[in-house]
Amino acid sequence: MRIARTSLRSAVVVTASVAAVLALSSCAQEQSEPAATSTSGDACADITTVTDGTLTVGTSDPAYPPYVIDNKPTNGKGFESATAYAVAREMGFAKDQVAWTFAGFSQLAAPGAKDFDFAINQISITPKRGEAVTFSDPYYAASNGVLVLKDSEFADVTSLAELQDAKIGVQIGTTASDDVESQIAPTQEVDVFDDTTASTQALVNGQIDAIVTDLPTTLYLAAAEVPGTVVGQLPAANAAESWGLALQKDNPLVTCVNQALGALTDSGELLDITNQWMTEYSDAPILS
Amino acid sequence: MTATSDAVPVYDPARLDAISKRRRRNTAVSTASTILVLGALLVLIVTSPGWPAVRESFFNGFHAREVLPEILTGLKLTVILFLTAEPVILVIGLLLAVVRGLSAPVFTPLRFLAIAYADVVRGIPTILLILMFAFGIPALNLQGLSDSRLFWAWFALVVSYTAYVSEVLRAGLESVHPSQRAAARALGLNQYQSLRYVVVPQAVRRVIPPLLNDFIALQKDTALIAIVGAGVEMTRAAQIYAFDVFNYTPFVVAAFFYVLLTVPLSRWADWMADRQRRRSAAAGGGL
Repeated sequence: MRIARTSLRSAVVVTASVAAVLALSSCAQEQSEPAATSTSGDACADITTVTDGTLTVGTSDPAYPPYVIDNKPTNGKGFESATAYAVAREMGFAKDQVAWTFAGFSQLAAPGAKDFDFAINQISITPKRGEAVTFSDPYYAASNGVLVLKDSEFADVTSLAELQDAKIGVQIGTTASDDVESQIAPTQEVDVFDDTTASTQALVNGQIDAIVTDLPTTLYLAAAEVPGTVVGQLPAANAAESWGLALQKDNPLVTCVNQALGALTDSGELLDITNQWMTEYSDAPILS
Repeated sequence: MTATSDAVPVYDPARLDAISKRRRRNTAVSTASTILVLGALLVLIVTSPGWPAVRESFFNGFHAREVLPEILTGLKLTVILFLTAEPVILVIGLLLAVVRGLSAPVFTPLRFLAIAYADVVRGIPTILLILMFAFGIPALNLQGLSDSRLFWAWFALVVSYTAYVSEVLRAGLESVHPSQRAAARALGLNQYQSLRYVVVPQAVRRVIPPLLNDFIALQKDTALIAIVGAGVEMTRAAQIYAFDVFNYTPFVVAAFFYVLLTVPLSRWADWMADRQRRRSAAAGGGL
């Protein structure tokens, strides 16, 4: 009968598709086992990286001074480029064994395997972020600076209270907006920009009065990009904004990275790198 | 199968019975197959080895609760933006569409302007329009023009969507049969009256689905104002929190609210179109 055959055919189709879906589920990829940590004293003796024999470092693109010069991390110039190469060397990777890749928010937040070994991009260490990635020990402690135009009505402020009526712009993904809210408590809503390109455009147009972001960036912008002046830095927040290298969650490589950072700190090399690239970008009166 | 050649088959009780049996079997089969396939897909997802990590990243209950107040605040701005933009878009879009349909030679420059507007503005990505208007126009320092990035970003959205909507409405106007215009003129209605009472109502009814498409797209595109830091609407609110904690759940929450905006609108538009269809069918028209 026609009716029975149609039913039978649809039953066969449904069963076949269900079987196919279940068969696919058994093909789901298994997560690779993390490499066993070394039991010897040297944490860098037996490490596994994303690509064998190469250390892959992630950073933003474009990457701005003073962290990376000319948007070319491979030239080793700039605070974060130099730090990355120093850490790599301590981990056992020569300069030509370091590869760079792009690590924006998505690459940091996404579940699943990262395509870099660590990311260096002024990433503040916070407990909540620590649930999504593993942080190394801090390599720099930054405060936030306040940048205004030279002819702005806010160019002479010496206290936080005088900034309350300013229209302030911050960059997304930075801790600046929290600090602005807690330390300045502005009367106007804080504007959030994707990057400093957009926020400096708004500043130059007079559409915002001040940009608050990490102090080195504000000093660099005042020196090189906008006719501005940095009126001061915000007092250090209670959870001091330290930056750390970000690794895949529970990546055992962090032990080796921390060992490398420790060696650089003990030898004074980290301080030298900091002084070389950040001195002109680290001094401003502390507003209160 | 029927007893006599001129009996109406559908009233044959045996046949009615067979039809209803087949309908019940079809319903049972479709329900069973839907449950089986969806169930199998769900099993595939939750038994995959990466599922716990994905769930933590995209469906994290703690972050969803934390971000909810900011999402709702952002939702307010989103709704204000598209509710104020859409009427302006529809009115100016209709004007442009009508202008393009004017055949008299004296209207040629207007027609060219309308064509140029639709072509050029549709060619420029909305993001670029927002950047140019919100940063560029205030930089000109012209007297009397607002400085506000929010206003100019809204304005850029209106300019962009008017071009698309005007084309949709033009298609609607052209789809009304010329006999309608002829009949209106024959009844003594002038150009304006025949447009106003005969052509435009029919045209708009016909293009409700694509108009709704553009309206729904506008609701999402309000997120583009973030490119100039113009205000925290729903997507930006989600993004701010997400970047802060390295978690995607805020975006899922925002998506949920966008769907909440879209679904009732679609059902309402379908119902409206159905009602118009029934009305014109009842009037014996069917146009």
